[in-house]
Amino acid sequence: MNQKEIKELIELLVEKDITEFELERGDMKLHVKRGNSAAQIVQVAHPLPVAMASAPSVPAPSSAPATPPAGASAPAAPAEAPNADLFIVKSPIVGTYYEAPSPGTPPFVKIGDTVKEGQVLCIIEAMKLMNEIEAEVSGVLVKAFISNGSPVEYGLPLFGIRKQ
Amino acid sequence: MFNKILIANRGEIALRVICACKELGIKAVAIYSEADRNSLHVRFADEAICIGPPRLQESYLNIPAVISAAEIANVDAIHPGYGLLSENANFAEVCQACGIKFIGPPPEVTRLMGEKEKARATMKKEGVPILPGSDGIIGSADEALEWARSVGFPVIVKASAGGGGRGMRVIRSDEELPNLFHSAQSEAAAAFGNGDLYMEKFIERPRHIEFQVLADEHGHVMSLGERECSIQRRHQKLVEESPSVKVTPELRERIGGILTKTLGSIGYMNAGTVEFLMDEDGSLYFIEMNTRIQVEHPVTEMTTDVDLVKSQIMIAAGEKLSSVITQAVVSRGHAIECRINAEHPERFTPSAGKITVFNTPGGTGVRVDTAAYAEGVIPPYYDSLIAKLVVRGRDRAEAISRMSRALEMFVVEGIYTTIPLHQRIMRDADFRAGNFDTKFMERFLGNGGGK
Repeated sequence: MNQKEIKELIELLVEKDITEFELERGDMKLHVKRGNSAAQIVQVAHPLPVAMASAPSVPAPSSAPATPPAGASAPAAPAEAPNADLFIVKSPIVGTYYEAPSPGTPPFVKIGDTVKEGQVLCIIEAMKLMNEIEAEVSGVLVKAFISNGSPVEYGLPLFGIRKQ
Repeated sequence: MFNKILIANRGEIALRVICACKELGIKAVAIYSEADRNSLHVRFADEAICIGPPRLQESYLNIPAVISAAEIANVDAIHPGYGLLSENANFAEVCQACGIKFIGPPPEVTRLMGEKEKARATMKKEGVPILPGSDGIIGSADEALEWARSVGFPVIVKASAGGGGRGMRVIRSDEELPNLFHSAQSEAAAAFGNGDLYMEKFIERPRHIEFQVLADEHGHVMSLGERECSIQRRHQKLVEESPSVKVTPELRERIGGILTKTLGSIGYMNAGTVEFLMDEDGSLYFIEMNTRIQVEHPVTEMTTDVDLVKSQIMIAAGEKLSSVITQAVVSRGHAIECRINAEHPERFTPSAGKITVFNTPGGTGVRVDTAAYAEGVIPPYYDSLIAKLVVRGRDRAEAISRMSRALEMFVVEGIYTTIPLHQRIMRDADFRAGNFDTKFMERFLGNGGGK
């Protein structure tokens, strides 16, 4: 697949508003993913000519209306460009975020901690029930996107874990 | 008055409630699934909370998620819209338990009207005409025959345990009764694990007539007249209008009076719609009550000048009907609504995707309720209604001519819509003459769909 073909493919994906696309042809594999933030990720398994590296980046449709007012929710995506190593732990429910098991006790985790898959990272309280949120991967906790006592919506990024 | 309301819905009705909130100076909180991130109802709410992934069960129907959102946003009340959780008595109870006002009738009343047999029995007791039906289960074909003869053919047997057309048979004579009765029983047993059947008088060519009511929380009830919704396809309404050409002023007043008394008796509160079938002789028979605001409420708003959604909010905030409706309700002119769906106009296959052009009609007497917009994407997860085109004219002829004009100027590209279908309906001689019943669409499409 040459650069022109990839560009046409990407334009087609934007027109049809497809978010993710994977193509395998012979020993060439192309994976295209579009996101809210500026850069797209184009991962190519098979080594291709250098020209591939300068494939055009594709923004999300610019004619969509302004993103919803912040209101009770924090911004939907981290401010920095996505890092391929960073696993983002997102809230699976709506509720209120608490960093510790109870007021006054030490937080479950802090930045820099090594966490194991299944380890409890925080509590999200919903309708008077305390839900323990577990790490889905093992690694180092490098980012926290949320502060204690904040309301959280479904899908809100909570932590960034550098996988190991 | 409420400070903040959460709207437990999406699409055009969520936007409709937001409009009412804005005009009443109430903050609106929107909830949305990931598929609705760029929706208009999210855009125009004061606050918006994502509550789940696209699937209804995991988002808009997910009661813990909805209540959780209401709690973190600290709302006073929830407006459930139509469909979704609007007639879910459990949801209304959870709201009550959490100290959040549910904008609708009390859970017990919702529950009562939700059980069809109980609703019929209650209405019958209060003097509302109901379709003659068996008082309970019909045990045998012999019993069925006796009952059918006393009421007169045609009759219909229906499964007690479920609907959707299964365990249902129309029986038009003595001879065909035993076979049809038994096959309905087997089908019901197979579909619902319960072969019990009840029977009803069957009307071959019914018209669907419904009455809009409003009741405050102090025992006052009023009827706001009727809408005719006979133009349906597979039990989905396509076109609604008010007034009905078949409802005389006398009938309107009589039914209005009965409903006012009846709904007062059962403690009904807030908005509701009572649905009837009209037989070939013009008699009305109660079939069911919808304890919520309806899709086609704008039709009544256009002829009466009453804002039904604002009324719902004011009633729920405790205001008396006399403060909500400050002048006598008079129905003036004629209103028609066409439901525009994102479907192929002939195949009726759903058409999700990106709208590239969206030009809504305007001008005198035209209203468009929609949450669609150019460059917006219609997601595949939800129902296909994308816009309601409502017109009002001084009389029915003007309303039809205005609707035709408005449909012609409603340009949608990028997806298929049923706009062309509605244009053909407006040109149909029987429709124009007011000559139709709920089988109209079947005949219309069977005859080539007006092409």
